[in-house]
Amino acid sequence: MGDYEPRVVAMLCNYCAYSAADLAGVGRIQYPTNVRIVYYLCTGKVEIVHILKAFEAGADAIFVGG
Amino acid sequence: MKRVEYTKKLLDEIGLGSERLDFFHIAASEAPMFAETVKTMTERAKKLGPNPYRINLQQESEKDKE
Amino acid sequence: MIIADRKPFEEIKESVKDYNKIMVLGCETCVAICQAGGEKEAEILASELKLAFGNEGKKVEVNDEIVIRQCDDEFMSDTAFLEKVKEADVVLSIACGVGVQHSCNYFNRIITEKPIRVIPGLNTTFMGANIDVGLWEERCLGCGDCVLERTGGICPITRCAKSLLNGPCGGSSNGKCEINKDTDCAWHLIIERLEALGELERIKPVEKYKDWRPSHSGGPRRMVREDLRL
Ligand code: SF4
Ligand code: SF4
Repeated sequence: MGDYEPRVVAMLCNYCAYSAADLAGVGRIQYPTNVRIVYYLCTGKVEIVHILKAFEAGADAIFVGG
Repeated sequence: MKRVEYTKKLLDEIGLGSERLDFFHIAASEAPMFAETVKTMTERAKKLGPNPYRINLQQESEKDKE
Repeated sequence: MIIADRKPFEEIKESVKDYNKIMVLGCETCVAICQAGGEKEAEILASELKLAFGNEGKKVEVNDEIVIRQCDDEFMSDTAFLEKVKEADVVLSIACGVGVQHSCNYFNRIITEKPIRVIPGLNTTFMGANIDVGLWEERCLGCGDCVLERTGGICPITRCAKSLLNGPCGGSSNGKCEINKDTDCAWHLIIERLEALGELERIKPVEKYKDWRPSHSGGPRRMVREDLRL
């Protein structure tokens, strides 16, 4: 388990958190690279089943940002 | 967000644990906050260890290979 | 429509734990509308079972399928669908109790190679209406002899805790029923409605007894329409 790199999934809203992520990139703010971003037009569209499927696919932690 | 709360309950029932999922409000201008959130979730995933479902599946597929 | 509620996950998991190939079967009519057994709920339950068993290191195959209505042969006769039913060790039906029984009966009539196991994933609760977002209330008991024309369209059989025909009883206070403060007194509502309609006269004559023979008390019911029979 020594090489355990957690897989974090971020489900982000286009208008808030995704823009923040974008800005973090532009501003060269350091953040861990093990995050995979899923882009939503609005986090209201995040379905329970999307979250469960992400865990099925092997995610270790998930956050929804809006 | 209520749907995330509900899904957290499901995760507890499944046995994955509700800590693996969370919801954050991140405004478009809050790039540092985004980086912070990614860090928080990565730390949490490290603490919780890998998703047991994924580990079990990996073992399965290794067994299949043998 | 028919209202149902999902059984606790632990109970469902326990009931399917001995099988390796599970088909979660949703129903797209009543139970989809009350968000207990439709397409979304079938997907969620299938995914939950996969994760929960996988967590314990047990590999099971869980598929989700839906039909428009499990209470009607017509919607389950697709050959490809029946093939999938045949392959499953167990069908976990998330329709109402009618759907569970009917699909089980149908599958076992049509599929002759092996007996098909169908088990319920929901508790069927009542016949009711969607009162508000996320809120359903019971409205009819299917008594077989409707009295609504005399009660201003409010059912005393279902909505009065004592099914009184000549209400209200002494437990009615401030419009609420004595059984619980969230329950309106049906007779309070009936009187208000009839008053508004100017038809209070309607409840003056004392209702004698109700004919309960057409209700479930007369045994399981059956309806035959000769004009529709082939
Ligand atoms: S099986 Fe039950 S839930 Fe499905 S349509 Fe028929 S009555 Fe409604
Ligand atoms: S009187 Fe009987 S049929 Fe009419 S609404 Fe009430 S329970 Fe249903």
